Amino acid sequence: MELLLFYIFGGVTVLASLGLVSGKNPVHSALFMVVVFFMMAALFVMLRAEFLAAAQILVYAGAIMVLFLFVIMLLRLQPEELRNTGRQGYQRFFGVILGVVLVIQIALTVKGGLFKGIMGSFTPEAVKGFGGNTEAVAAVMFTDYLFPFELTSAILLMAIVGAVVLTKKELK
Amino acid sequence: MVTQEHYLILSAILFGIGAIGVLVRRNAIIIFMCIELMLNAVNLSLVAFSRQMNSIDGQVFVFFIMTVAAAEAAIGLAIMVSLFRNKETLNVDEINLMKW
Repeated sequence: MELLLFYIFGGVTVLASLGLVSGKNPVHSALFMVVVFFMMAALFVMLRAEFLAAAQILVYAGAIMVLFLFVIMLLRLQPEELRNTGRQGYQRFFGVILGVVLVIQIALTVKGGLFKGIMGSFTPEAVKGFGGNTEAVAAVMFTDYLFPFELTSAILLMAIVGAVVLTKKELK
Repeated sequence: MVTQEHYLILSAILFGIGAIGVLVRRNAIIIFMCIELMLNAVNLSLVAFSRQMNSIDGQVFVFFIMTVAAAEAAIGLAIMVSLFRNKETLNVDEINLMKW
């Protein structure tokens, strides 16, 4: 049952990402991207990361994709094929070959099984003892990773200021 | 039984599709979406390792990656808006002001 669900979610993710890469219209690509994000959230639930699944839908499917669609519809884009520069064929050929080689290399590394590490203390029972996945994430994030957590607020502030400055008509 | 390898291979496939997209497509917005796809593939493998190793740290990293990706999307799209305003195109072959 779990395997079947994995293949459904994984298959839809791969198909939707192929649609994203091959779509002519940027709006179609953006909608395929939303499908990818939702399927990824489902996979996170299967990996028992419920907090991340919720954050994935809220942040990616909710905020980032709305931003993308907003910008796509704001700009009047010509279809990419009308402005063909002639080198497209070579680029497509070598790009696909490089991508396939990359996937095969990563797959061989994974199959080699070289991943070793120290097991952590957050077994499923321990997570249950915290009260759930969200509580366990919070317990780690606000103790060991408190400083990085504060830094992300600075990053977000910089992003807001940067976006406003970049899209302003002229700076006085 | 779904093992860690399943998730890692799926993550590799998604990362590869994203990389192909970055190399093949010419529209800057679609290239940007492919970068987000690659970030997501890495997130998936981080969460898979986090479950395999009984550790929460991987999930905290994914949370940080998500905030950075949100910041990156805001800045990147702002750059694209100002680019389009100046050059009237988002074709990366025609955006070559800084090419030597």
